[in-house]
Amino acid sequence: MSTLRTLGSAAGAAAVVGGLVLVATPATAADTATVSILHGVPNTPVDVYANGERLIDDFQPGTLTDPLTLPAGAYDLALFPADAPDGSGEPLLKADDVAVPAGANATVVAHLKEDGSPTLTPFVNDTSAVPAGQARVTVRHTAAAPAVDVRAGGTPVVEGLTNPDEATLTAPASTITADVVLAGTDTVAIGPADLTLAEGTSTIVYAWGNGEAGYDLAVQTIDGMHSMPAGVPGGSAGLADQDSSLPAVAALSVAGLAVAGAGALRVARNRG
Amino acid sequence: MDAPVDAVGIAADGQMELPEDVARVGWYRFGPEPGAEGSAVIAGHVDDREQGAGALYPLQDAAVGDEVAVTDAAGAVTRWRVVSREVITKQALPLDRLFAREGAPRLTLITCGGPFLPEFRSYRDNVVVVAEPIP
Repeated sequence: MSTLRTLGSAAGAAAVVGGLVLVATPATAADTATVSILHGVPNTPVDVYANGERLIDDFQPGTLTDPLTLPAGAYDLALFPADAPDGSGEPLLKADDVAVPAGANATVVAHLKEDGSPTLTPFVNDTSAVPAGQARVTVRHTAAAPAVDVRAGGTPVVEGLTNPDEATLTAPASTITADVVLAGTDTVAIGPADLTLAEGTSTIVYAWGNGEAGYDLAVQTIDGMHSMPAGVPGGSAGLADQDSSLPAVAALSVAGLAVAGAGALRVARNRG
Repeated sequence: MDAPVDAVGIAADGQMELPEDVARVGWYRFGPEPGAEGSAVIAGHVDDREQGAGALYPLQDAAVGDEVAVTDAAGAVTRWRVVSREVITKQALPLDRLFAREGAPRLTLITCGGPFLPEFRSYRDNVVVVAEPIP
């Protein structure tokens, strides 16, 4: 494959390890990590190896794996041409001692840098709670292309994003029409595409490819990050009042509630 | 007690959104549908200064064993039996339980109740009625 060169392992490993070391490990870390792998190098099916064991066979460009649960630790990652005998020869891409911290949720992306050379970039996925009614959307620039703007409904929402950076927004749950334009222009590079931003989920959009093979979007979703409403309102007239004889006391109790907590109110009423 | 249901989300203040019309009730559309796994929440105003009593005004008198019927947009009816009625101080409302998206299917009906607090133009408590499917 003419667009894919063998990458010096030292440089690749340093970049990857640097990326993952920056990750704060959640306090609830288990002994495993959740890792997804995205293949964003055009025209190049590969086999993916971790610590010498084949993890994925015949991995096609544009494919995202289901989340893999891996023991936390250090991994030597290598990508071989899919048509080569297993585990032999020189890898197309490799990164040694990639730290995968316990509890982390990460996506490792094989993609092209802005100059078209291949690389492996680990991204950490934010799985913290999303406010009720909202959705999280992250855009990652993994294409052989210069800076871009990302637009929703024609309005730029992320500006000047460069490879391999990412930007994250929180938006009301909805379906949006998104496209990618060259930064500061109306020249559409990818899209438009409809994206469903479901409540309490994270949608991660990858721009990948190159000018020769074309550009495309890959979409990853992570769910289960929803929050509860802050409460339930429900009346303003007092017609259903259950304790109208003591409005002053009741009001006082509520005023004190914010400080003392609910238990205080129950005690006060029992004494009364 | 009979009320049309609107699909609702979140109000600007972060609370569950409710239909302005107190004769209507809201189903929390980000949570489960009635009958799906978890707690399907339907809530409404108990009253309003201009509109008077709301559709859920009688909820404060719901009794264990009462039957609830939910009709979906396609006309399919699910039937439920009330298993509990609680009056809970709003600040102590177990939101994670009431809005849980896991566990056995249940229907949770919520309105306001308890003492009315004129200074706050609101009630101190929520009335929470939980019902389970009738097989």
